Amino acid sequence: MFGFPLEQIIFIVLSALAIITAMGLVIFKDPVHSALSLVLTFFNVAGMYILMGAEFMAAIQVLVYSGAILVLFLFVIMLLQVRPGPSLNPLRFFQSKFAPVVGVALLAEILLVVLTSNFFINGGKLTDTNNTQAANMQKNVAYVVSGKIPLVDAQGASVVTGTGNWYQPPAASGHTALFGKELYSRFILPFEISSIILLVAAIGAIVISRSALARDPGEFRDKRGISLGGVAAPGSPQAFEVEKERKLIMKK
Amino acid sequence: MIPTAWFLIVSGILFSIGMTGVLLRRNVLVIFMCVELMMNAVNLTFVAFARSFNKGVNFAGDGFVVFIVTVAAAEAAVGLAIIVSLARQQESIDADSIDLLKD
Repeated sequence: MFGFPLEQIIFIVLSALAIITAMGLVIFKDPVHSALSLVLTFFNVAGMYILMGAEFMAAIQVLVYSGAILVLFLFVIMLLQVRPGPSLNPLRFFQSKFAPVVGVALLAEILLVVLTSNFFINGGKLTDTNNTQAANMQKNVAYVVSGKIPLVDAQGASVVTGTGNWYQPPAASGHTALFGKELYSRFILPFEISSIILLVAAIGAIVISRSALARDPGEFRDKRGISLGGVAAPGSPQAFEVEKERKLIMKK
Repeated sequence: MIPTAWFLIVSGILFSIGMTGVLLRRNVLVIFMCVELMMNAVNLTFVAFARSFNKGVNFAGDGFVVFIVTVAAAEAAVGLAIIVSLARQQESIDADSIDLLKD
């Protein structure tokens, strides 16, 4: 069709929709419309992931981005009752004129870099003269696909001393299975660290967003920053501090 | 096959739109959404590069994307909590009105 293969036509449609809806994110006055436009952008990017054969990426794109993060955004927009304001304030003339110029300049730079790179001119071929990098990657690919440890590296030197089929791969292939194997072996340390990040973020979000009145019964402390709340035990240093603070405020 | 350069161009366009939005809009929530869009463009670049090396059986880029998504989720949770707390104090989420650290 039109001289293009089908997947390229699908890619062109997906990318055009993604760009149009991303512009809608910037242009719409109502934040709810912006958020819904961003949902469409995320779905189109998920379609591009599927075109690349990265089905797991498409799944987490839809589940995490469109499913979790954007729902959180919509929830906060509706909780705060954000009204659509004037998108261009005449007093901010400089900002509204300057921002598109900077955006277009950045786009020109990116296009310049991409269009002069190997990925455009050379069709994505590696320019390694000895091609050792490509050969090593080929070995890794063979390892990941077949599950057998490579016995020699790209130069023919032996890398393992033992022989035998001591590693049994799961009888599955496809992006999710292969990536899962990689995630739980090579990326196991960052995987564990990301669990700590999520824990810290969950606790931090609860602590920050708790209402001031709920966390401090005393009315004199309602705008005094973040506290973990609770009532200090009588006789404790915390209770002493609270009492000192109360006297200080009463004196004013 | 789709050339890698096409993905890079689309990703660059999305990143530029996101940055223009960050500079142009003054609603903190919309600025935050534009940052998410920029992160998504970078994710697209990571996966495209991971595909382009050896027919996509190299998972370094995919691993990066998973951790970027994790950090983006954590960042959205904490950032929206900050915005809610800010809106309670200032009764406005206009970026121009947020110019003081205290009171």
